[in-house]
Amino acid sequence: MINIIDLCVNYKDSLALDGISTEIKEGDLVAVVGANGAGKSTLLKSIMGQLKPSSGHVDLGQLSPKDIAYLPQSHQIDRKFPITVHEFVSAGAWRRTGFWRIFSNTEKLSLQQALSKVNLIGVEERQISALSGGQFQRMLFARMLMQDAEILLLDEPFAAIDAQTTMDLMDVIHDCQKQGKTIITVIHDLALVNRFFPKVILLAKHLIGSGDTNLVMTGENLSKAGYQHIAYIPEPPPSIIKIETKIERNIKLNIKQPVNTTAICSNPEHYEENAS
Amino acid sequence: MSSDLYSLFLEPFIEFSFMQRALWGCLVLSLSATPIGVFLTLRKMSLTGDAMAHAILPGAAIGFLVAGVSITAMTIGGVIAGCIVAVLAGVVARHSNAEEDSSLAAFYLLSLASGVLIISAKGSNMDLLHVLFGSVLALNNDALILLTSIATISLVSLAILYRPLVFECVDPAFFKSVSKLSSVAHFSFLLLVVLNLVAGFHALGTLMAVGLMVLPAAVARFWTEKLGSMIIIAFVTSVFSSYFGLFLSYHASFATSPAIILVMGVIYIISLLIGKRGGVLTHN
Repeated sequence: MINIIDLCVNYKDSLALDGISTEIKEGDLVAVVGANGAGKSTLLKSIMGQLKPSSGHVDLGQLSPKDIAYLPQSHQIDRKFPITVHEFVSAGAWRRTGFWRIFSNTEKLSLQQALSKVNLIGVEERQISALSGGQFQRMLFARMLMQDAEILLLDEPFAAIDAQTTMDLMDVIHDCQKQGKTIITVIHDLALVNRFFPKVILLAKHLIGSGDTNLVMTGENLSKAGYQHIAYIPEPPPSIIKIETKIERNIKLNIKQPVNTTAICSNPEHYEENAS
Repeated sequence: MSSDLYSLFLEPFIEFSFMQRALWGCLVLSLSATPIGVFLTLRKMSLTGDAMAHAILPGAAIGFLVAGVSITAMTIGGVIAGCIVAVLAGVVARHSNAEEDSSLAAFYLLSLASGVLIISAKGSNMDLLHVLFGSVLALNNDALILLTSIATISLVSLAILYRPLVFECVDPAFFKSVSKLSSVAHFSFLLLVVLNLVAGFHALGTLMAVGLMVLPAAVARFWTEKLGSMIIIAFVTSVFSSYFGLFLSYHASFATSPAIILVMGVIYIISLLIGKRGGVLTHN
C-alpha cells in the first residue's frame, strides 16, 4: 500500500503540491486527474522519491523506489537520438544489468516478450526516430514491462496517440493489473478515466478528492479542479459497454462495423492522431 | 611518378620529426575528442563546449603568469578554470532566469577577455598567438605524453560510462528513476570535455580546440543514424583533416590549426550539401 501523508512539495519557488493525503492499495488502478499545473507529474516524482517534500512524506510500505517503473511523458525523450528500439527497451533491465553486466539470455527473452505484448516484434533494429507516434508509445510500454516492477507510474501515456493504440495499451495496463501490480496513471482524457479507471485522485495542487471514480468525478469536484466547461460524462450502461467492447474486438480483427453501432463507439476525435 | 607522390604526401611525415609529432598529437587527440564531440552534439551542448573551450584560457593564462610556457602549469590552470565554468554554467541555468545561451555567451566573452588581458600583460604577441591558435608543430615530449594520457583516460572512462551516457542523453527522466548514476554520468562527461579541451588547447589553441570535437561529429550526423558508426566517421574525418591540414601547412605555409579546422569545415560543407541524412541537396 502507498500512503501519501500531508505531502507538500515546492517546485523552484512555488508550491506544487499542498497537503496531499491519500492511500493507494496494492493492485489498484488509479488515474491522477487535474488541469495543467495541478501537480500530477510532481505527485509521481514525489512517489518515486525524485522530489523531496517540504513537509509530509510518501510511505511505500515494504516496497522501495527500486520497485517502481516509470513511464515519462514522451516529449521529455530525445526522439532523434541514434538508438535502436532494442537498445532503448533494454534500458528497462538497468536495475538488473547495470552498466557492466552482459545482457543474459533470460533478459533477451524478457525483451522479446515485452515487445510482443505491445505488438512491436519486427522493429527491434529500427531507429527510434523512424517510429510513428503510436509505435513510440508502445516502445515506452515495452521498456516499462521490462522493468518488471510492482508499482507502475505512467505520466500521460496516451497523449497524442490514436484510439486503437490507446485501447491496445489499456489492455497491457489491465494485464499488469491482473498480475497484482499497482498502477498510477496521469491522464487528461476524462472519458478514458471514467471508462477504465476504477479509482481516481483529483488534484488542483491540493487534493479535491480521491477514491472511487464515480464518487470523485462529480461536476462539482471537476469544477473545483478547474474543469469549468466540462460536464461529467456518466458511466455508460453495461449493455453499451458490452457493445463497445465487441466493436473494439472487431476493430482489432479488422471486421467491418455495422453502420448503426459505430455511433456509440469511442469517439476517435478524443484521441489526437500524431502527425509525426 | 611514385617518388613525386612520396615526396608530396609522405616525405614531410617521414623526414621531419616535428611533423611526426604533430601527426601523433592530432591522432591521439582525435581518438578521444571525437567520441566526446559526438556525445556533445547529441546532447545539444556544442555551444557549451565552445564556452568551456574559452573558459580554459584565463586558467591557462594564470598558469603562464606563474610559470611561463609550462605544460603542467597551463594544464592545471586550464582544467581548474574549465571545471569552474562548467559548474557555474549549470548553477546559472538552474537558479537564474537568464537564458542559457546568453549566460554561456557572457562566460565565453569574459573568459576570452580576461585570458587575453593576463597574457598580454606579461607575455609577447607570440605567446598570445601560441595560446589562441596552439602550437601543433612545436609539440614536445611532455605535450605528447599529456595528450596521450588524456586520450587514454578519456577512452577508458567513455568505455565505462558509455551506457549511462546514452540513456542519460536519450531519456534523462527515466534514467534518473532507475539509477543514481545520472548526475555522475553528466559531471564525468563534463570533466572529460574539459580534459579534452585542455589537450586540444595545447595543440590547436583555445579558439580552435572545440573544432576538433564538434565539426567531425557534425559531419558524421549527415552520414549515419547509428551511434557507433557516427563515432567512427567522426574519428576518420578528424584523422583525415589533421593529415591534410598538416600537409597544406607544410606545402603552402598555412597556419596549422586553422588549416586543420578549415579542412574539417570543407568536409562539413560537402556533407551539408550531399550527406545522405538531411543533406540540403539530398533531403526529401
